[in-house]
Amino acid sequence: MSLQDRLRNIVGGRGAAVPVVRVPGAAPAVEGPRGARRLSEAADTLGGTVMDAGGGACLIVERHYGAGTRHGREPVDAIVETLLDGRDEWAVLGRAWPSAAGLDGTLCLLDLETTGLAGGAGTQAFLIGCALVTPDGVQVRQFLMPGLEHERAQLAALTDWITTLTRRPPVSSAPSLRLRSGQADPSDPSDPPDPSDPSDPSDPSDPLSLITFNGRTFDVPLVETRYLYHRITSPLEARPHLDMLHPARRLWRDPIAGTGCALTTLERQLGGVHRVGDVPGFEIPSRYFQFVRDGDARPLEAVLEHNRLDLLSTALLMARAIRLIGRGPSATGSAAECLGLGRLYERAGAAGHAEACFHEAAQAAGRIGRLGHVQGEALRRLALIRRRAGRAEEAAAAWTALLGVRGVAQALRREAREALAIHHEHRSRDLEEARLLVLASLDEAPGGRGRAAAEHRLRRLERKMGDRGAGRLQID
Amino acid sequence: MSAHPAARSASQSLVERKDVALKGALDHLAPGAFVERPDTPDAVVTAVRRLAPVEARYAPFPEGLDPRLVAAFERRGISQLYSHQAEAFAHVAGGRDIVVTTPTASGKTLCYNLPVLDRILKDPATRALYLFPTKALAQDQMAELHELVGQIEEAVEGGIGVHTYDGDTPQDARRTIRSRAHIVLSNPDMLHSGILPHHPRWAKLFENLRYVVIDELHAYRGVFGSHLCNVLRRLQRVCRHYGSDPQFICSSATIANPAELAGRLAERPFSLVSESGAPRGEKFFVFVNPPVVNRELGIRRSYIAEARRVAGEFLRRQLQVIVFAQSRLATEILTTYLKEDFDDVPGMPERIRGYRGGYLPLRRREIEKGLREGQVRGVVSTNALELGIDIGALDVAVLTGYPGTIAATWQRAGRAGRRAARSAAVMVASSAPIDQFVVRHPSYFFDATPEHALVNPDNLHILVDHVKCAAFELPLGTGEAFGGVDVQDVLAVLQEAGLVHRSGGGLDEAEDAPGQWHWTSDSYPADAVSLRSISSDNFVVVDITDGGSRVIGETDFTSGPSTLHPKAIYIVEGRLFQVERLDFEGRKAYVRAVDCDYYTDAIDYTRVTALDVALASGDGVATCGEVHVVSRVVGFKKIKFHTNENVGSGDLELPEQQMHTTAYWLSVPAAVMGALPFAIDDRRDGVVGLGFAMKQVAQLLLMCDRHDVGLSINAGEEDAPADEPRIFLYDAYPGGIGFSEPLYQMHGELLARTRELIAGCECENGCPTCVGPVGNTGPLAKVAALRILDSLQSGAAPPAQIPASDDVPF
Repeated sequence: MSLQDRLRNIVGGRGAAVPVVRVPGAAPAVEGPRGARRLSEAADTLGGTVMDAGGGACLIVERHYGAGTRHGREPVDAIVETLLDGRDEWAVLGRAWPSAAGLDGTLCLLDLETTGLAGGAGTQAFLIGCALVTPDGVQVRQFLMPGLEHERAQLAALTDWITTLTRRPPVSSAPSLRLRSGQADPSDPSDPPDPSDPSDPSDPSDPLSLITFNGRTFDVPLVETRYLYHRITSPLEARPHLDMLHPARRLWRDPIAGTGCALTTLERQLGGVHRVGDVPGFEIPSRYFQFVRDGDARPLEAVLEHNRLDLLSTALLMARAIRLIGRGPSATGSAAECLGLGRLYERAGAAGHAEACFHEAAQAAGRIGRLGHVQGEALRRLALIRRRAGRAEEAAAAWTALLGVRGVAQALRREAREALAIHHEHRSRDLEEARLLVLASLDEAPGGRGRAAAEHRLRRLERKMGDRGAGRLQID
Repeated sequence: MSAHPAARSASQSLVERKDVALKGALDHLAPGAFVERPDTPDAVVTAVRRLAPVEARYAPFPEGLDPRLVAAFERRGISQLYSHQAEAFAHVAGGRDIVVTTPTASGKTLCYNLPVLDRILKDPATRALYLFPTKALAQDQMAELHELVGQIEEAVEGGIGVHTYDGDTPQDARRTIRSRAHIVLSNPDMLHSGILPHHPRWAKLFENLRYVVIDELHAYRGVFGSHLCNVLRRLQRVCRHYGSDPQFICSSATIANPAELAGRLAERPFSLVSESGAPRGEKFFVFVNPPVVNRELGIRRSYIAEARRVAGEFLRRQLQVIVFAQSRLATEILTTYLKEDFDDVPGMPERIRGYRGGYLPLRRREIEKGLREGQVRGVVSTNALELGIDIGALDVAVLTGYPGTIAATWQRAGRAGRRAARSAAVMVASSAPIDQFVVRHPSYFFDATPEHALVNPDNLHILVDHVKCAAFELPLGTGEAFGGVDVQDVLAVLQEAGLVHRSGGGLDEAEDAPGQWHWTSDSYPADAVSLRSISSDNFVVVDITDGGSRVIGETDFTSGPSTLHPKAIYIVEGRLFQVERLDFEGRKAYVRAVDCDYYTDAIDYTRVTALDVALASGDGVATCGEVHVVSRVVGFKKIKFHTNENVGSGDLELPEQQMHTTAYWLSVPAAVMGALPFAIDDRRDGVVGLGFAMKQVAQLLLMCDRHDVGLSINAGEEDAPADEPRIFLYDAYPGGIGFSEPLYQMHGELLARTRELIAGCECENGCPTCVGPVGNTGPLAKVAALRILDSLQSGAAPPAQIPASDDVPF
């Protein structure tokens, strides 16, 4: 057997060949163009430009979403306005999540498409999608690696762009990047501004802040790793970074209702975004590898679009969060969202706002009914926040209310009874009430330590009641 | 290191008491003279050898050693080095890669800690990576380093960081370790799957990596060593990317070819430091063969019972004893026995302990401490304590069964006896053929050089896996080499499978412009490669007893069919399960708990076809080359526990397993077969018996496990007619692991040792110790096998003698 045949036996026995993606209506590429022509053809297909940098090339694709465009139900200019007017709300988010502290200057949305999810030196971000939030709209700029060997160029292009954005004072000279070929998609309704233009929509002296969705654990570390790999300084380092996944979890995750925190779920529920012909995530790496092999960029169009929609949806979610933070409980669309807003406020240290939200969430859930888990959780948080503020009677009222709600988890009821028993034993001195609560707890038969603690409390209460009874007798 | 004189005199009386006790125990075991005692192969004690005490040889601290380090040693009462430590330091200072092979407890770790710490003190940016074969050893070494580092005053800003990095390292500690640790203690598996694939995060380590320390180098042989070589290839590529070129410092137990093994693994020349300057007390080495209780069947007294008796002689004289057992089960049994004999005071601290993998780390640390401080008087251990875990100096080592290699035997024996005191090691042989050979031929053990450690890093299966990992880590250049096979061929095939893609060097690439191979798959290739086996394809065992599906074990692919065939009895920690269904494609075996009094033994059928001859002796008797192995489990036997009666059997229809590998084979010429004065069937039995014995001896010569080599006999086949049978000994791994050619080179020795094994066996008609149990072979197997050997050996001269050390061509 020849070496080749033996190798084929070994490799073929284990590695599965990559599935080939066919773009409907397009003839399969036989052998793609090579060299410079390959790049310019890809740029044409994707509506981008080729940029030389760092000994290689990077494809830049720009899109502008301005007045008149919508993302789902939302007009993009409304999203932009909310984001740019929400500096006070940025600060609230910054207080809740330290990485977002100091959120300031230009907001840059960031989302990657990668050659895999495993991480490590062999996982590359073939597409770095950025979007600036400007008064004119959302300005998307995507950095595509035209081949795996062009990563250095891609990273250099990103660095140059961010440097241009943040340099002070603004530069008027031509940027270090050279436009080579291709033009922005002429079908694009708006005229994308030249990135080198000193009158760039964002004030170039601005600092830059990052907004991502799940970027704290995935996108940003991955980009930093790529810079480390090439041993160049990352332009993302030490920038304020809001990972919208975290506020989203606080605001919108409802485990009982089964609401997950996937971006596509949230954008649909909150923004009425329905994607048509979206690329499933697992298919993205193979589409890119296919492009790398045959040079045909058509399968990538949908990937770039997917990335742009992710960027817009991240903006949409942030706008929604800002609106909620700014307007308070009245802006929330459901009891669950109101509860979520309270949790966000609480995390940001705004106890008063949080209390109002919990109160409103409990009320709303009570009005609607069948939302026992939301009502119970809202009352619990209400009670805790009041107790921390030293308002024991009001806390007890919330605990009592909780015990009257149907469909509350047993653990919550137990917590409420215990808190109330403590309250009645030590504050209101209503020992009989405390005793009834402990007996009720024991009726629900908690196991292990819960039981032992309840029994201990019961014995102590009964001893105290005995003493008090004896005392009374003496007085009588 | 020289101990403080005051401390020495304080322990003088203790040493004397122990010397007397040891003499007493040895007198009881083997009455008579100890010096120049002739070997007695047929007695219970077959050999007693005295190893004379060795004086220490010292050397001053090297010129230029950092004064802070000298001061730290002086605080510990150490004012000079052993000669080998100074020699190692000089080599490292001279920029050479070294391998140190000095005995257990000779202060080997200082050979690498000294130059590493010295360099860190002089240049705090310095980084070092230590690799140990197990996590426990890394932990142990970390404790020792912390102690030493703690005594260095004004070391470096922020202190010298020493950290282990393995699967147990908490996620939140990993970032700190990556940037702060001067010395990272890890293992090859973690380097392979956790560090190299994430090298950008380790940039600081790789940029400043000055030293790679590989401890217990001898552990890296066979499959594990072949993998390690490829991991080191990847490590050196990554280092080049970051502009570093670390020096290698290795330590090894005594094997025949330490410098060669190091050279094979790291693919660069090594200097050898082998002259120990450490002192050693007088030592006695005793071989015990349990007495024969049934001469006809060749059955001896249980070696476990014999080991219990031997250990008892020493324990009752207040000597501290370590007993090594061959399996976890034997460890537990012996622990139970010795506890019965010596742990009779309830409430007192346990004086007898067991020790094996699977015990929780805390418990292990407690036992190790008990041994060092003397409360634990006896420990029964698997090979877990063979490697360099610090348990202090013990008086006696009892080896229950021959450990399988000369190197491991010395390593275990070295656990007893340090520095000044007299000590003893006793090897109690089991009835296994190798044990019997060694115990009856003591000079094989005492006078021969230890085994060669063999690796085959260019085994295609292993190489291909690591080429994938390497491409994931850094693109491979179209002009780059990796290993002994043309890696460009490998990459071309990987490209066909879509796993890599070749890119040109620049924008205006031409077809043949230099370029790079990039990883183009969304997988993480290191996850699919286990360094401890050749294939990560496993069968999992699923317990469906209570209607659930709980995974209770796993078995590697090759032994899956023979242990997990339908109706097989599968045993976990003494619990019996029966296999209800084997899902061969899904690699799952569904089992249900049963209560029965038998176990099962698979009957497999193996057929080997020679594909290509690499080397052949002039007479055509010995050959090595490539073969195709087809094996299939065709049935099974039910064997009753305790009595070992055959109580039933069954047929099986299972898929074949195929493998392309390398083999050594012996062709018995028709003339030799024809001249045998036996019936056809008896001649065949002779060949089968000869094969059985040859496999045992091959294991001995190759320093390998019994699963590493397969045996198959062709007679009456196309390529081997009945009157010209062939005995194949093949590498039981796809692609071969490098045993076949050395075995071919050792052909003469193989036959000579096989003859000694069969002729020296006391049984009459064959037994499990020589040509296999009667029943497998006919009554004339033994004598027929001997006749075949006699004819072969009187004929042509053997092709080659065993090669001298460090000189194996493979």
